[in-house]
Amino acid sequence: MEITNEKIDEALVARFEGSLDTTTAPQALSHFDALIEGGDSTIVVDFSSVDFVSSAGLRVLLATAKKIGTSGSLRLFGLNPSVREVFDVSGFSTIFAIFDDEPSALAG
Amino acid sequence: MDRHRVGDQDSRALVGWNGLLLLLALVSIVIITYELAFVHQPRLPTSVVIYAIDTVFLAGLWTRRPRSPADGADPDRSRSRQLFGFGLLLLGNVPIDVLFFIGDGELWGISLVLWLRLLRLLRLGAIFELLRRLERYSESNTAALRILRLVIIVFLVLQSLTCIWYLVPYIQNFPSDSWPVVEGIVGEGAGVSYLLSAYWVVTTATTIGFGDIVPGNTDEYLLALLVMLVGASLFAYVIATGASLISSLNLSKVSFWNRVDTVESYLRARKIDRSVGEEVRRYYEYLWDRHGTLREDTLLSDLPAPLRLDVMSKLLGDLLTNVPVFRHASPALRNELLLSLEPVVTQPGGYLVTDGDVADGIYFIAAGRVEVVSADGETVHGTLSAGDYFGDLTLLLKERRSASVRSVGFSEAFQLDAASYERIRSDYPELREVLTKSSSERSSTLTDLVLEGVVL
Repeated sequence: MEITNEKIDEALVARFEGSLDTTTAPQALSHFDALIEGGDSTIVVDFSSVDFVSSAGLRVLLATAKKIGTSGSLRLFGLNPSVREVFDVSGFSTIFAIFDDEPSALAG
Repeated sequence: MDRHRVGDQDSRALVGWNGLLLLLALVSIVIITYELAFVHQPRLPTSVVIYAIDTVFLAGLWTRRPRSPADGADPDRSRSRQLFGFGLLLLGNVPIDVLFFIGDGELWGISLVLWLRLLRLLRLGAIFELLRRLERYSESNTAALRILRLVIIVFLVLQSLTCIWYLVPYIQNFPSDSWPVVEGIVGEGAGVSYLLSAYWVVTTATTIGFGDIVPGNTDEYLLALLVMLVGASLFAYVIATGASLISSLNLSKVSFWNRVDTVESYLRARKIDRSVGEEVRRYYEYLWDRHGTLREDTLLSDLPAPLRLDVMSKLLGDLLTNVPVFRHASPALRNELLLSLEPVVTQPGGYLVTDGDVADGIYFIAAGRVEVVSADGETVHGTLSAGDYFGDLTLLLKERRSASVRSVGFSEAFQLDAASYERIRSDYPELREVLTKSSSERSSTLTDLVLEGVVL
């Protein structure tokens, strides 16, 4: 899994590429942990190039959202329809801030 | 709701009105036959009662006068049949006998007024028509109405035999060998004659036959033969009908517990542990208390879909209000869900799903509490209750469950299986929105579970 960081104003955009599943989840988790420790509290995750999210991936996102808490926010955009459905049906779309595209995600 | 309530009132009023007519018809027949056989002359108080009843029936008749025939029916035939029926009704209810009060006409020592009143016996047809109507309007209690019909038949047969048994010697002017003379009741009051006559008819018809009152001449022997034959058949009919009524009185209960007994004796025969047998019984007891049947959905499978929907939404109404997805759905989606949701009743300690299961659907909890436990059942990760649902993550992510769900007490859930979910999702795009809305009413337990790595 490829993750590239890009700082846009206050927000840090993390662009994911590949699948967020059991094998790549630890890598994603440590990446987020590093960002939070580095002082980033507004993390925007670009899911445009993510084709699949497993329960392990969801766990990473939930854990990260919990760590950021109220001091910042975890925003997601570019989710493909099947991933979006998982978020909607499970109710996680109310836990994360989900946006359709990058500009709206950056605007919050 | 209001529509139904009005309907209830209507049918209750109809039951009351038809019940009253039934009672009046019976009273008039009893008075008329009694006076004819035992009093022989019209009396003022009973005449008033009879004409009052006639008035009620004539008023009822006015509302049923023949109208233009129904569409599609053969006009000539149905018209003439209607007129014939109406003529009979008229004959049975119009007090023609009033005309004979003038002139003291008598036949065999009995006033013509009373003979003509026998035309009211045409009301017998009305009695059975009324019973049919009561059966139609009252919906429930058909067993009670069948008992009522039986009692009325028995009573009317015994009443007519009682009257005939006394009337025959009376018309013959009490021959010295006739039973009233032998018993010495000639000249006694009508009440005594009626009582003794009824007593003989009942003892003979029930085949008890004490033999204290016996036929004295050929006519009475013939009558006695008639009473014995009619009586024996009548009581055979009573017993047969009574037996079938009693066994059908609570058919659903009997068949339910028969089923339970079958299962239990099977378990005993296979030497299954007693505690399992007790668990099985508790499960059935719960089903009976809460649902009154083994499977509501299969019981109703004969009904056409719209009617089944109506019945199911009433039956499951209380439970389904606990399921958010049902509350938020549009009426069309709700109907679709009603037909697709499978009720799942789980006994205390029973498992709804187990660790490692392939996702088979979404479970909506409607009543009771369930625990999310580890595969060995030792660790409890969390508790879910009415309004919660699970199974969505594994279904959508196509993963296996990583924990089991165990019922604490009895619990009731509805399962939306994977195939139905796919179908409804494509037919009703609103389902996703409804689920998102429902998810806000979920307890936070599920989020915590995902954080713990538990996926259901």
